[in-house]
Amino acid sequence: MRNKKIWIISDQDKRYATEHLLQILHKGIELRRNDKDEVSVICVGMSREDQFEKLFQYGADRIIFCEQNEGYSISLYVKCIEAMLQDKMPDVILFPASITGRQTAAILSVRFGAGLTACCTDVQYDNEVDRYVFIRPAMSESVLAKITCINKNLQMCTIKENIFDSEFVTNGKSYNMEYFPYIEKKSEKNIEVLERKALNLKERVDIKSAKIVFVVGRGMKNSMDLCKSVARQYGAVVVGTKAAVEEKMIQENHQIGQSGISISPDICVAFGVSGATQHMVGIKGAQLIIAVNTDKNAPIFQYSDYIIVDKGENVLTELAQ
Amino acid sequence: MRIVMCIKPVKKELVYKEDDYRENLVINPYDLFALQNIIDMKKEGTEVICISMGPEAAKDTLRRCIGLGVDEVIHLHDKHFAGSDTIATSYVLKKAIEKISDVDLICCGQKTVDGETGQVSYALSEQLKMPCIAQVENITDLNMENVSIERENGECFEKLRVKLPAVISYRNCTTIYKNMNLLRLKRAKNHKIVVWDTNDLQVDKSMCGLKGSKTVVQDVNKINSIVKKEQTVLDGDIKDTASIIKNIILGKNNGVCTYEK
Repeated sequence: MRNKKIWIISDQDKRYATEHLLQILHKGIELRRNDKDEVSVICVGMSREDQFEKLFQYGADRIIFCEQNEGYSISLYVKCIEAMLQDKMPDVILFPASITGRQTAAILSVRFGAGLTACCTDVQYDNEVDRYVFIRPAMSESVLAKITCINKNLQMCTIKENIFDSEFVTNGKSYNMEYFPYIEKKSEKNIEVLERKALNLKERVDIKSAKIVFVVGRGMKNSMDLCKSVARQYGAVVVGTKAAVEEKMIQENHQIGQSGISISPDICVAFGVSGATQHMVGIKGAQLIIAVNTDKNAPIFQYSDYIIVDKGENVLTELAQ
Repeated sequence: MRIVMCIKPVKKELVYKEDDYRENLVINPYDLFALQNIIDMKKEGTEVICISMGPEAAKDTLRRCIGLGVDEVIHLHDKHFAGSDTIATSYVLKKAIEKISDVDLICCGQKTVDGETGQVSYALSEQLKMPCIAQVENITDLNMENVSIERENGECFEKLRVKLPAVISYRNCTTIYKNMNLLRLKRAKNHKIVVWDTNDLQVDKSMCGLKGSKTVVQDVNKINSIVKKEQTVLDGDIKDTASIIKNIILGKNNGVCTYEK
């Protein structure tokens, strides 16, 4: 049994130690079978001592750093990681399932002919076959599939946010940096940015730690403003189902359920949510569920503590008083 | 100008709750959104071709694309394609696009509702050595040299101009078919669908299907159901029920609520 090299790729150019990455790092550390297996974090971008330090504090054995200017193009970023891979081949690579992470992973999987599993919710090591097992929901999240890579030693996956917890390890870890220079030979300028403006994202609330949560489903399409103002009044965070995201009622990073985030608040009030299994999985951790729906046969009622057969709007209007 | 639209048929249960749909397979909603956007902006002299790799039943789905207004459909169908993962799929699609030749723009939905990997559009762009622009909201301009698109990229809104040929993938999805032109639908019924297999595409059999895949599904488990609870029905005057909820949220014990803060 050789030692395993586990790589974790940061998708940022200056803030490497994001919460998402630290979560993946913690998972990577769990995948070590012994002290000889090594978890490395790959960073491409600006040199940031504080970020590197944080990665070591959270348990990274090594950081492989490739310095590039801020705001590099994605093609350069992919080339840097490709060059690192050609130089030293790891056994398994964990990418964040972000836009950049997904794109990089898919491109590299073709370039290296390596198996790639998308949006994993768990990764395990199978001693018998000496392979990693990637676990992810599929088929509209009605099933969990176990996937392994074949025909190639390199194995890859992308990992969703907020599946694992990050964990501080130590202040005393040695500073094991490896510098990897890369200079782009020729760059193709086939994409031109005409305009870029920051989206007016409301302050990023920490959905995971919210105590009171209002969940909206498709049925609340015309009363989002009311819902948001009532939520503010009670200090609740508004999240939504997949349907609500598709209807553009709520942002994608506020989606609850198997393909979104799982939460465990003290109280969850669901307005106009029918209660499809894949959504219920996301709120099953709630201590107390109150469901409001006009359909008296809505499946969500079976999983709730209190039920009201009525329009969400009507209840919200009363709550606003 | 030639546009290729990659579509995938998916099981209707994944898309429609009601059973008012005759076919068992429907167009993946993400692909449908992309297809409608392309058809809406199609100009004179633009040819739109739909390709789909899938089982025999995919033919009906492709017919529907004709009904929606595409010019030609090609069914990539061969037993050797079965069990393809994202790498093997993107390889077959690449071979088909090369065979079509002179393709300026390739469009996909960002993911399918069954596999939900969201990898094929990127993998395809890599196979074709073209740039891939993901998260597209819509196309604002399309000419022989460039495509201009608007997209939401994580935390910013971007307008980009991309040199053709390129792959773009749409972020949104839709589950509503626009009204189909009946005459077109009739024509679609009689349309002879082109089928390409391994020989037509001259694919290396070791690169597609299970043989060419780099991942394999070991097993699939139904996800555990969630615990059912005893519930209290709150009915009567809305004012009363709302005030009970209010008290629960505020953590007040009013005799009904057993919730401990």
